[in-house]
Amino acid sequence: MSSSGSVMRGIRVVYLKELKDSLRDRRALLTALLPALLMPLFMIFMFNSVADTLDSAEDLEVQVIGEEFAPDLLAFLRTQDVNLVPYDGDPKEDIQAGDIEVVLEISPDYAEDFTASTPATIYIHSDNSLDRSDVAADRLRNLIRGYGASIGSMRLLVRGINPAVSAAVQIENKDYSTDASRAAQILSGMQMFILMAAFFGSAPSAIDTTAGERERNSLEPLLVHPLSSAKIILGKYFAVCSFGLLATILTVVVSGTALESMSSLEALGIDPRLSGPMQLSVISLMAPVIFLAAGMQMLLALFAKTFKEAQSYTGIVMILPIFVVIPSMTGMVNEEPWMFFVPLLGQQQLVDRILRGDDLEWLSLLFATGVTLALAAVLLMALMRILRSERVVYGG
Amino acid sequence: MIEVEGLCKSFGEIKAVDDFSLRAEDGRITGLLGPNGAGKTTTLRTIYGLQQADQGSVRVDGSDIAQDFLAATAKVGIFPDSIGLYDRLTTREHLRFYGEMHGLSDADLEEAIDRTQGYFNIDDLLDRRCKGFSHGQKMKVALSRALIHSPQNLILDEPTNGLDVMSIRLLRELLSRLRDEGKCILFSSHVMQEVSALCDYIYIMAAGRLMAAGTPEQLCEKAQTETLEEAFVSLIGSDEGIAL
Repeated sequence: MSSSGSVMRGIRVVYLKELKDSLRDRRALLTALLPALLMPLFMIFMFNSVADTLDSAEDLEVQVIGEEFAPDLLAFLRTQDVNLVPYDGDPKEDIQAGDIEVVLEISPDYAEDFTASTPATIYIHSDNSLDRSDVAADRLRNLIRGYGASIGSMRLLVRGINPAVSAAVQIENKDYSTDASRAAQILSGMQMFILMAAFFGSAPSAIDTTAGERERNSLEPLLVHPLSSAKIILGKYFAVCSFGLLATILTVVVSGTALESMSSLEALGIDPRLSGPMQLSVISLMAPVIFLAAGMQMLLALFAKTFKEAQSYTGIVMILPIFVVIPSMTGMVNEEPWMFFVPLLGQQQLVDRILRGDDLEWLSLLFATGVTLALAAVLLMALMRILRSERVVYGG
Repeated sequence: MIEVEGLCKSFGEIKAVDDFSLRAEDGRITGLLGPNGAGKTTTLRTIYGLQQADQGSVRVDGSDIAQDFLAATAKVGIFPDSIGLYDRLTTREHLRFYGEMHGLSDADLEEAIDRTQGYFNIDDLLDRRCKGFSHGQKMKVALSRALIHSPQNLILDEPTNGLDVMSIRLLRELLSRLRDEGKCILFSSHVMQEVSALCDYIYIMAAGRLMAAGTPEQLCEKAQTETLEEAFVSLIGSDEGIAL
C-alpha cells in the first residue's frame, strides 16, 4: 500500500463505484443538472424583459377614455410624442392582462371645471405592481403635472401674481440609476447562478454517498473493508466534485450561449460576453468553489441523522451564494481588497471582472483561490477523521 | 485466529459488553450464543473495529484491530448486522467493488467471483441489479461479499436470519467445509438449533457478560444436563429471547 499506484487504485475503486451509482440515479441527476440549464434561461428572460421596459419608455402609448372632453390637454400630450389611442374597454382587466399599459380617463366635467378655474379631474389607470404599467403611468403623470403647472402659472400671471410664490419647495431629481446599473444587477444574478451551480450539482451525490449510505445500511459493510478512511473519502469526494464541475460547466457554457444569442444588450449600455476562453477562465476560477461545496455538503450530510435532515442542511448551504452577491447586486458595496479573502465572495468579484471584460489582478486571484482551497482542505481532513467514528457509522 | 481480551463497552450508563474474553481458533467454528439484547452485535462490532472498546483488546492473526485496523480487517471476511447493498448495482458489480477494496487484481477478481457465486448458486443474480431482491437473495450476496477474498477468518452476525431452509443447509455445508480447510469462523446467533448443529465451541452471553464457554459436551457436563438447550437455560437462568 506504500506505492502511489496502489494509493490511486483505492481512491479510483471508490470513485468509479460512486460515479456509476450516481449516474444510474436518473432523478438525482436531473435535480443536479436541471438548474444549470434553467437558470441561464431565466436570465435571458430577465434581460429581455428589462430591455422591453426600456424600449417602451421611448414611445409612450396611452389609451384614452373621453378624449372629446379635453382637446387642449391631448394636443399638449401629442407634442410630447405620446401616442394617444381612443379606448372604451375595461382598464383593470386589460392592464392586468398586460395588453395595455396605462389608461387616461377624462372626466365629463373637465371642460366646465377647467373654465371655472376649479381643479379639473382626470383619472390614470395603471397597475404599479407591473413594471411596464408603472413606468408608463409615471411618465404620463409627470407630463400632465407639468401641463397643469404651466396652466396654473399662466392663471396666476393673469391675476398679476408671480407664479414662483406658489412653489414653496422645488424638487430637483438626480437619479443615478442608469441602464447600465440595471444590467449590472442582472449580471450579479448570473454570477450567483454560476456560484450556485457547484452547490446544486454536488448536493444529491454529497448526500447519497454519506447520509444515503448510512440510511441504506451500506456504510457499515463498506467500512469493514481494508481501505483507509482517507482513500474512501477521497474517492467519494472526487465523485461529488465531478457533479459540481459538470453543473458548473453546463451553467457557464449555457450562459455564454445565452449571452451570445442576445442582441438587445447594447441598448442597456453594457455588453457582457462570455467567449470560449472566458468560459474556461470562469470554470477554472470556480474549481475551489466546487471543492468547497462538495466538502461542506458532505460534512453536513455525515453529521445529519437522516437523509431528510441532510437535505435540509444542504438546502441551507445552497443559499450562501445569494448572500454573497447581495452587496454587488444592490450596488451598496464596491470591490474592496478584503473581499478576496472571503470564500465565494472572492470568486464572485473575480467573475464579475471577467464578465465586464476587466483584467484580473494576479494577487486577488491568488488570495481568493488560496483561502477557499485552504478551507476546502480543512473540511476534507475533517471528513477523513470522522468517517469511521461511531457517531457517523451507527448514529449518535 | 481471533483473540479478544477483557472487552468492555458502555453506552452512557449501560454496560453493553462487560469484561468479555474470547478465543476463536483456526479450524474451528466458534459460536456466540445469547438472547436478543445480550450484546452479541456490539461485541462483534467491537471485534471488527467499527466500535471502539473502552477497555480490552482484539487481535486478528496477531494484528491489533485498534492499532492496525487495515491489516486486521484484511484478514477477515465480515457479514455485519446490516446487509446494505446498492440498489442500482448488479451482484457482479458488488462483488467486484468489494474485491477491489481488498486489493484483488482483475484476474483474481474473475476467479473470486466465479468461486463465491458457486457457494449459494447465485449465477442467475450476477448480472441483475439488487433493487427488488428478496431478503434471502440479498443475504446470499452479502455472504458472498464476506468471502470474496478467501479470508482466513470469518465473522458472521446472525447469518441465518431470514434465510430459507435450503440456503441454511448450503451455509452450514459451506461453513463446515471452510472449517475443515483450517479457517477460523466466529458467528453469533440466538437460534439454539444453529449453534448446536454447527459449533465446535460455544460462548454463552447474557446481559453483556460471558456466562459460560466450552464444547457442547463440556457445557452439558457443567450444567449437569442431557441437552444443550437444558444446559443453556440452566446456565443463564432463563430461556427468554432465545429461539430453539
